[in-house]
Amino acid sequence: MRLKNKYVFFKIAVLSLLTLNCTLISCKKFVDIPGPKGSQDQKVTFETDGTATAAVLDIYAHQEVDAPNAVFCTGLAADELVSDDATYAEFQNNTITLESFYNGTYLWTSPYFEIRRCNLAIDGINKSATLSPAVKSQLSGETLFMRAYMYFNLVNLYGGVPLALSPVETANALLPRSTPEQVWAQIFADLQQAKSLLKPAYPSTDRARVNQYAVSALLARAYLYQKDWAKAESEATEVIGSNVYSLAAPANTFKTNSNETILQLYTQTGTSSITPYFFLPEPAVNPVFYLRDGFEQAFEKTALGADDARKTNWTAKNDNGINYVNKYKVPFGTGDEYTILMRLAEIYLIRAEARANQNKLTGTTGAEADLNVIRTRAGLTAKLNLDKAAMLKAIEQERKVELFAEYTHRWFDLKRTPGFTDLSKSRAEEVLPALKGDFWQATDVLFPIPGDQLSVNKNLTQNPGY
Amino acid sequence: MIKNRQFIILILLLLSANLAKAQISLKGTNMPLQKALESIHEQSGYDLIYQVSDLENLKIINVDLQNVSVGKALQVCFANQPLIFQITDKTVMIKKQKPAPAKKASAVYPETDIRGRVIDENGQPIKGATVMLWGDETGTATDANGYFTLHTELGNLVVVTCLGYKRIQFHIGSKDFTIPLTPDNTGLNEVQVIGYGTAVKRLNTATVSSITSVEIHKQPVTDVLNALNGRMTGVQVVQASGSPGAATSIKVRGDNTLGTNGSTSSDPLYIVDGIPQASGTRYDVQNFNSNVRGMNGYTNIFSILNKEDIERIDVLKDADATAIYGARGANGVVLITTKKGKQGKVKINVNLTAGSGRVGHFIPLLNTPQYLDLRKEAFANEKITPTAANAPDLLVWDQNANTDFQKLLLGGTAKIRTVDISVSGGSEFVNYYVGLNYRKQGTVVANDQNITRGGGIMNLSIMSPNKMFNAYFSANYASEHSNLAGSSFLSLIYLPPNFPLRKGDGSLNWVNNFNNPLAALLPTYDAKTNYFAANTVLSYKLLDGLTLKTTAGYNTNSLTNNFSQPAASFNPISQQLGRATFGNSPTSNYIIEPQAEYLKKVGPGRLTALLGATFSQALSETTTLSGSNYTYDTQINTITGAGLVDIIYNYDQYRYASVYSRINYDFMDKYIVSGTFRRDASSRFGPQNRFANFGSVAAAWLFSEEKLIKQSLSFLSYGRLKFSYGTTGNDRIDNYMYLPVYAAGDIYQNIHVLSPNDLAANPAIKWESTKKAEINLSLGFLKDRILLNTNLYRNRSTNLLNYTIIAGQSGVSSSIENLDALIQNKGLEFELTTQNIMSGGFNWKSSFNISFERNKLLSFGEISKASNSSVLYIGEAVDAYINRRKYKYAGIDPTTGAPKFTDLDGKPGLGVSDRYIAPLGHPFYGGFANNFSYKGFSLELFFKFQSSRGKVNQLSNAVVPGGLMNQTTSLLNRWTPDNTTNTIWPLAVTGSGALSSAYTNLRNSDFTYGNTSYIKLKTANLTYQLPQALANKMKMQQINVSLQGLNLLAWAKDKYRLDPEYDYGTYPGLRTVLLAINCSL
Repeated sequence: MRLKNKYVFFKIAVLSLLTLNCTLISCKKFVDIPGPKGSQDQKVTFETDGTATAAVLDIYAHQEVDAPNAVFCTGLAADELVSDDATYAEFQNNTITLESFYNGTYLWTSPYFEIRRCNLAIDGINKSATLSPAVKSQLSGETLFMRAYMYFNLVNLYGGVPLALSPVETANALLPRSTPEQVWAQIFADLQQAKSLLKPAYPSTDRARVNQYAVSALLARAYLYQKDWAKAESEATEVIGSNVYSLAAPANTFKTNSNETILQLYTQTGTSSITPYFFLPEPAVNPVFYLRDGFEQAFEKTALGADDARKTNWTAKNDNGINYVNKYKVPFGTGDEYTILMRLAEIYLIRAEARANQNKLTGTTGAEADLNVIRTRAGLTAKLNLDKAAMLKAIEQERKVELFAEYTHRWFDLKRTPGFTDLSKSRAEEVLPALKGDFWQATDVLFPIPGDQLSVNKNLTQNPGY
Repeated sequence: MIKNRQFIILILLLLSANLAKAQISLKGTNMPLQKALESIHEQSGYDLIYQVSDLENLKIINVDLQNVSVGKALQVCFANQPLIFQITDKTVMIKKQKPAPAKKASAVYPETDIRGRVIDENGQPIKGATVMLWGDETGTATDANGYFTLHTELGNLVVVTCLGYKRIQFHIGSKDFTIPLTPDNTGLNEVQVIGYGTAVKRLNTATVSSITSVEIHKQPVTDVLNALNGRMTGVQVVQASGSPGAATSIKVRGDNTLGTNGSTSSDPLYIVDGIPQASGTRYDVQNFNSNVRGMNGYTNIFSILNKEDIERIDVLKDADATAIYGARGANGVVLITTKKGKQGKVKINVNLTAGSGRVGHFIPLLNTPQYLDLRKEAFANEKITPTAANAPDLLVWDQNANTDFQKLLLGGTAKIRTVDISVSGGSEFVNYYVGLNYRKQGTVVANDQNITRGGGIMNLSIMSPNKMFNAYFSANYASEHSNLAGSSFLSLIYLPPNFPLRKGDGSLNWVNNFNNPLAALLPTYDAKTNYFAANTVLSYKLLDGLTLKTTAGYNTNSLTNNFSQPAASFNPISQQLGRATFGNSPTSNYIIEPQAEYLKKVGPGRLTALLGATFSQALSETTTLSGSNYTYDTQINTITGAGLVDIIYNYDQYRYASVYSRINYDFMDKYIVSGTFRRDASSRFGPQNRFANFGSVAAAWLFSEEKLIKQSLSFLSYGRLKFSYGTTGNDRIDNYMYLPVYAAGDIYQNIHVLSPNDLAANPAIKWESTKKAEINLSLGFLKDRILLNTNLYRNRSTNLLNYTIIAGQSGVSSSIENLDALIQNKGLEFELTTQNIMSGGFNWKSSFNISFERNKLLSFGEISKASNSSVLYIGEAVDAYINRRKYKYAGIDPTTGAPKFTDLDGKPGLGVSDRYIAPLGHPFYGGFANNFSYKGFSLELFFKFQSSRGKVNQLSNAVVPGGLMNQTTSLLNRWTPDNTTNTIWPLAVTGSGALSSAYTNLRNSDFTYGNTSYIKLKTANLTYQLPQALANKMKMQQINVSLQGLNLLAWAKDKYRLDPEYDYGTYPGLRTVLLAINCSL
């Protein structure tokens, strides 16, 4: 009996050990599963032209979705837009809180999400040995452009921001804010590199991807903001002189096939994600965002007393008597409009401003020529022989009525241009206190760094006034 | 007492003895010996085994004993009698003295075949009773006539068990005998299902709460998990809403986790017939429409399982029970076992139910005059002039119209019909169970919405003639169809009572602030779920005591659904074209578990050892097609009519492999020790942290078996002290969280873009771990007529997996990390079952359970890192769903009518530092069941109760009372210039004036947080069993008719919600009454 027991124990022990051993080895293999179907790791993604292109197009696709919020928030902060929706009141009153959802999620975080996609793509493209050279430089150029575009918005909204350039998320997480100069330097470096990598021709139809002229257009804008007038003028001239673009009739400016477009963002439906917020749902119902009372008076009349063609084509009035933005017209369903990021009219106005600041005022190479190209298209009479101050005023007015409710133009213009009466102050100080009353403070020209960001990154500092 | 003419052994047995006096008193002259022995048995509780024939005509001449031991008493009784006796533990073997000198039992009797018969208290044979040799568990089952044969030695200890009867054990005294079983109402001898095995409740070292088919059958619930509701300590059943098919989940002993997946992270491991369910209660079908979620957005497997086919549900709670499930055991384990065929003749059971449910309690809302008064007052308070734009209810709409939107939307009757037919039976070698079922369940929502399900189940077990090989096969299929469209309209019960649903031209009326309920009823939903499960168990007795077993299970569950929203269902401000979503999400799971079980009598005790391995996989693929821009609504039920199609595809593979073992040593059913160990590997973690070890130790001491206690505490019929300690884990997070990947995203220029995951992958993540400690004391009094079970536990969880906030500048907003936080769950649980009256055919039994849980976040390294840090406070309960940081409400200013708040920080204005953590109170919950039976009637009333704090004084969707939305009648008691004191509510405001900000503070104050306790008559059941004679006349074995009720009554402090058991704004549990007929052929 005892012997039998021993034998059984021995057998069991051997069996158990064997089983355990085999099981442990097979366990390891068994749970070692591949990634989910339909997914791939970064290295593989940048191995072929097709997949690498798809990864870069992701940046544009996200931009299309993220884009509207910057339009609304800065439009409200400036003198363009108002909303009945109380959640946007803090922008309308320039009393943005540290907890602001839109400021935190869309204005601050979304661009950094895009920057991460750019950083990952730049890293992937650089490391890839298998991409064809043409695609490699095209994709690099596009990605650098998009990164510069994000930093351009960030530095203008917040001042100096952290320069996240690493593909490793954690390496960027605790960076302090760089100075505005450092951010601008990075913007110019990225754009100049992009310009050298890209070709004049668009890589695809619809002008929905970046070409060399798009880079020049953004460079012109950036030089203008940095008051490098000569370079702004020369970049603008490259775009205008390319003869690739021409102004479209106001009714067609925002159409997909408008020849004025320098860069637009594709959507499957041919409708811009901005439109639903501006359109009129019913004659007596207000759109989510509409034009601030009095904005419509900024439009001049034509020589014959008719309305500015932009007023008739790009704004409308509802039964409640409010004026609303009507640049894009198809909110739902299928349309022929993409979100336009940059168009030729702005480039004319950039060059006009750059020339005016260089005292090139009159003649065919003077500011007035570019200004009048825009005025003429709107049906307005040409302005001639203005002095520098008057010309700059005229350009600001023209930018206001030409570029209203388009991206961040108006808000940035108010901040960056000096006042008409007091050059030491910004235009914002002249325009906004009258509209915003006691809400307005000089420090409102910079949006606050979101409070939750300050708490997760102790190295960040807040802007003054918050 | 049973006598058999031939050859009888009479056994007076009660393991858990009656009012046993250890001291025997016996007095009498010329007393029959048998009577004396019975008296000794009754006084001592000892089991006396003898052949009646041996005692025939034997009498005691004279006896007068006072307080002597059993041995002494027997010695006196047997003086000069031709009998000998032997006492082993508490069993007395009495034998006729033979001419040859007696030797020790085991040496005397050679190994032989013995034959016996098991009968019930009426002398009827019991089929399917298990007869086993104590120690090595070799055994057999009784046949249809109650007979069994065993190959063993005389004198060995035999254990006889049968569901519903008390377990008995005795030493075999003869080769042929009859064993009477007495009914067991205590459940102490019930066999509970534990991880990879079973255990008798009284001897179980694991803490397990169980519910069996008897209790499940009595409740008119459709979701089998709801049958547990309120009936177990430490187990809370949480249902998203009272709607049919609503996701149900179980929380065992509080939240152990901070949760990356919301509440599902604290889901226990659900195992149906050995197959783990993919990710708990439900799996996520693509977010069709947030309106549908919580109603149909998930597939709820437990609503698909047919409750009449469920044999039992066992919830494993402590370390000893759950550590064998290792990294998935931290949140408890729910084992669901379906019915199996039993030995016996063919049994056909038919169960039919029909009934209906209605909303039991409507929220008292203002009628039109009251509502309009409120509105006018609000405008007057703020000196705002009403206009057609801001007050259409006052200036445009009919001032006399009065629609009760609550009745309009929820006033219907939900019909329920079920049909269940099962056929079961078997022989010694083959058992089978086949069932078919059908159920149709409606809702109270205005239009015709139903969930219909049908299914079948079958299982077969086969034993080889030599009883060495055992095979079991089962298959379960169910198909469910639902057209429940979602519950978004529930908020619409608060529409202004004079809101016109249609404009003058008959078209739907729209206001920006809210949806039109008629439009909310326009979308259609159509979902089909198919569930199939198959299971095989093969076991082979390789050696004496060693059994090899392999379990293989597979199940698949697929949901195909379609949600169509015609253009007319949208408010034109947001959308003007139709949309439709089509989803398909097949899920499949398999599991293979080779096991070896070893059972041996070692020394004086019984050793049970288990060694096993698991290989399991859960696979799910979800494809969602979202169609938009439908040109024609007539095309809305097909994706091909969509102008734009968006495709989302999700693939999830989860693999799991482990080895596990358990060792249990039972010393004479008195001292039991047990230990488990498991090593796990999960594909949810990166290669560096894939493996982890878990284990537990436990010990139980049945102190009532100690002689000393038996003698001194005779009223104590059962006493057990138990202790367990161990480590378990939790890996309930999404798959692939460790892996950085690119996946296909939107379409840009006709190219599917590749998008990096927005969540930073973390290859360093590992299991959450929970250390569980428990002490359990079980006591039985008065022959177990009173049973008290007490648990005291403390669980501590750490390495908590949670999303952490990472600065947005990194390009991701969160990452997943094991946080340096420690959550403690402490609790005290009581279960009391009593048999109050058992006389004259009238029985009254009660059972009461109550659980006190204290959840606390003990420490947290860097609390601000957690994504849900705003609702986490060190030293407070972890409750991710209610932010308890509130302003302190200080009543109403009688002059202005505005709410006041206590200034906590001394600084002017209300700021963050004026908030305090509103107290959680002392939450507890439990249930109280009473069963009465008299003759053929039985009545069960079950109450569920809960003491808690949460949301109260909630306004309707409107931000303020006085806005364009109806309110509850509690607003009648508001501050007005004429009624300035003792009001509940501050003054009415419109929502646009300056005063309305006071309501923002009010909402964030403890005014909206208070007592949410309730008591509910959760279920009631009145059953009448037709007399046997009548049943027989109808050629049936048994017929009973019952009336079943659910959610019959509720008492709650807050009467302004539909159902205190569910959150505001969710579909309530319906007051349901069913008539059920059950016949056995």
